[in-house]
Amino acid sequence: MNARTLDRIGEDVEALTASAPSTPSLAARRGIGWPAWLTRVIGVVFVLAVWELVAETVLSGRHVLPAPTTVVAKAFEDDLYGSSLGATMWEAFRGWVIGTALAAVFAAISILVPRFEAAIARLGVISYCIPTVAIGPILIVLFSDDTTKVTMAALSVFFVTLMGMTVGLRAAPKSVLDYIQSCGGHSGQALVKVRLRAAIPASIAGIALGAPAAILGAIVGDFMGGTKGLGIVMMQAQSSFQVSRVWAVGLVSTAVSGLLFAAIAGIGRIFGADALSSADAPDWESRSSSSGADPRTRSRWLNALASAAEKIAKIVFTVIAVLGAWWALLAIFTLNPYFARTPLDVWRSLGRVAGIATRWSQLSDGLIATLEHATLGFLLGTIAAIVVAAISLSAVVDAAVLPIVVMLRSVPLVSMTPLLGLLLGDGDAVIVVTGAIVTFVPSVVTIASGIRATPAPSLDLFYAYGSSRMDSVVKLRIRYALPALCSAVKVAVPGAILGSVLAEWLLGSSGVGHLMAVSIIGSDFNLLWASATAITIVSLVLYQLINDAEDLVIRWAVQ
Amino acid sequence: MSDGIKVSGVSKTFRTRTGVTHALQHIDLDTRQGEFVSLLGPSGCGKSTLLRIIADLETPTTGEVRIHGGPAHRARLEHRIGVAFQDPSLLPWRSVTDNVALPLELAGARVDSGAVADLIQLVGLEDFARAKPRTLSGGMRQRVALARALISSPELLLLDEPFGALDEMTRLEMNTELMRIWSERSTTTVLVTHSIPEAVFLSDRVVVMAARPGRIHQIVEIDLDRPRDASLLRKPEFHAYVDQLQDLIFAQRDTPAVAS
Repeated sequence: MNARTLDRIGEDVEALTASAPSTPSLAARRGIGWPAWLTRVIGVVFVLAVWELVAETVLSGRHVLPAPTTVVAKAFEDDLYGSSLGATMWEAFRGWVIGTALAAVFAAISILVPRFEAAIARLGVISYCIPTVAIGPILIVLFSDDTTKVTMAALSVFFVTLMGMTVGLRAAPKSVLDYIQSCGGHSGQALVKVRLRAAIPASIAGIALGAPAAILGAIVGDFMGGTKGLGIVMMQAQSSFQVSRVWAVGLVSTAVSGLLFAAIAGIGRIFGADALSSADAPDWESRSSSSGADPRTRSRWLNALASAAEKIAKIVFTVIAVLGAWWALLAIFTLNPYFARTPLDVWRSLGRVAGIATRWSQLSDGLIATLEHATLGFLLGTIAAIVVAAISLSAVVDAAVLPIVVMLRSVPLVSMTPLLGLLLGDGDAVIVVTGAIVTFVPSVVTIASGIRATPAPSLDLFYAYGSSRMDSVVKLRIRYALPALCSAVKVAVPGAILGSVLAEWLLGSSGVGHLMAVSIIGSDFNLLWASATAITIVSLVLYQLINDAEDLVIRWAVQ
Repeated sequence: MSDGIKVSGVSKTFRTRTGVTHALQHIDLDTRQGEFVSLLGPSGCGKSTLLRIIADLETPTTGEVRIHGGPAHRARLEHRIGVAFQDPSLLPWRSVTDNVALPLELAGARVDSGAVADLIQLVGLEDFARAKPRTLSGGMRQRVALARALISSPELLLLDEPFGALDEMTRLEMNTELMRIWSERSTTTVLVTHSIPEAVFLSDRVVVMAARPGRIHQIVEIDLDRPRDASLLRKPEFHAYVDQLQDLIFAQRDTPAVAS
């Protein structure tokens, strides 16, 4: 992994952590309008009013979509789920502290010992691609449910926070570091006086995003099992069709996540207001010139062969790493061999018939179904995101819709699956829609900022030449938006898989998630391990492949 | 005298957090068709804003701009304007040739590859016609931007410090080049600059502007023979104009304007 790959991971983190795009739209530049916050408030109030109206009229008595007022009333009637909320928050808090602390340690190592930088970045990516839902069932059969939930919370936090901190520590402008050096300052002084200060905005953004991620991890952990927690209340309410309670739990967990996120981000804004940053302007020119190996030093074919070999090696490495982690888990903890199966046990069992078919065929059927769900969800979410991002260029949508989408990012989305189950029933639709929503929300923000990535002078140029709207989009904006689009796709794929697997686990009748639920009920722990490992490997390998494809696209876009 | 640009009663105010900024206050300016006019002044005098209003990139708060007898936005929509900014704004994925051809594409006109090649030769980049912008030096990129501004044979050429980021030597070279190309075409031109010698060397008239609020301080006719070339830079009459403009600009500092 070279420095450029690291830069790209940085961009992906920006894709994950970006707030609403701040470049004023052309319409805003032309001086239309009233204060932006007013449009936002109007937008939110409008959405709530339509919702209330629809729920009270068209959907009245159908028990799928309660009115916002009913939801709020229910939340208070149920005493805001005091002890369940407390349990979930306590698990989320410990996971958040552990995840953040680990992230801080690894971020510090990667800055102080540059040799480990690439390996640590890769570790972060792996932690992001692991579908927590897949390893949750493993953890819950091996450990207590409390440990499972804290681990899942910590795992959900680790990546965003690590990357926020690494990006932050690398944000110090080189010219300032050069200046410190030329004054005879040593690297310790540079760290204290410049790097740490410059690191504040991105680090706090990472820590802030970690808070909803921890709550999400804890709630998803509840879906794995246990006795107390918001996720458990939600699941029970869903299976007994207590519609307003499902929505009320969703509301409470969203409110808590949102408040925590806003509070931490607010602190970050106070301290980071005038922090140095060189990350503001993406360096398009230098990026394109640094791409790829020097083609003159080796023949083209040799190059192609070498890069293909490197790619295959990475995939092999991924498989070995997953199996190694599995083996290490068994080696470190003394675990009940009834639950804890070694890779070899599982491998031998795959060919045997379990229930209706061999485990192999069950596993491959499950994987195919999950990939179908995730692909559909991903496509649906991405297309919707592109459409919304494109129309967000109009001033009204920009001011009213994007802030809502940005708010949705602090909602523990995957944990809303039971809610979707109420709306869409127990079929494949709910699985696809879960994947689509998980894809949609981060993608909109990333793609919208991509569409705004076109430099203002280029827009002026097209405008002054009387360019048609179509030409401005096709000849200019799309090309500048491509890198962001690639980042959005890359970030979305593991999310779509995670969403699909979770929905399958909770509500589905096919797919790996369903297979895991069935294998726990039937105590088929060989199949459980096989399913978890397979989907983890698929997720990691897909990410790798998309990463390689992105290389080609970007090379085409800028060359 | 046939009409070039007619700016009448143009003001521009920006609302900022601290209050209202008068970027431009009551600007009247008439230029002749085919005339080369420079807007010269300290930073903050609104010279770029005025150029952007002429290009229809900004709308004036009051007043109007007419170009060759019609409103500014019509000139823009009819693809009769050519522009070059301080930032060359080349599209990084297009070759020099394709970048130069861009205005023709945007106007929906046929791309005459012969004309594109001629213009690339005119700015001295014939060996780089297929090169991508990132392989070019800053001066070369500005030449591409200049060729691009001229390709559509615009009636009006608007240049916003196109050489501002260049070193002194490249700048001089680009000035003589622009002079040579412009002499062949005599396009109505407005150049925003903060370089006094550049303004004298290129212009028929120099509009000296003052800041806070942005306004026209004085207009100086540059009565120097054309065609002009680098030898002009050593002539006493050239230096007399430079000194005169310098005095005008520095005199502003001693007598701060009373905001009206």
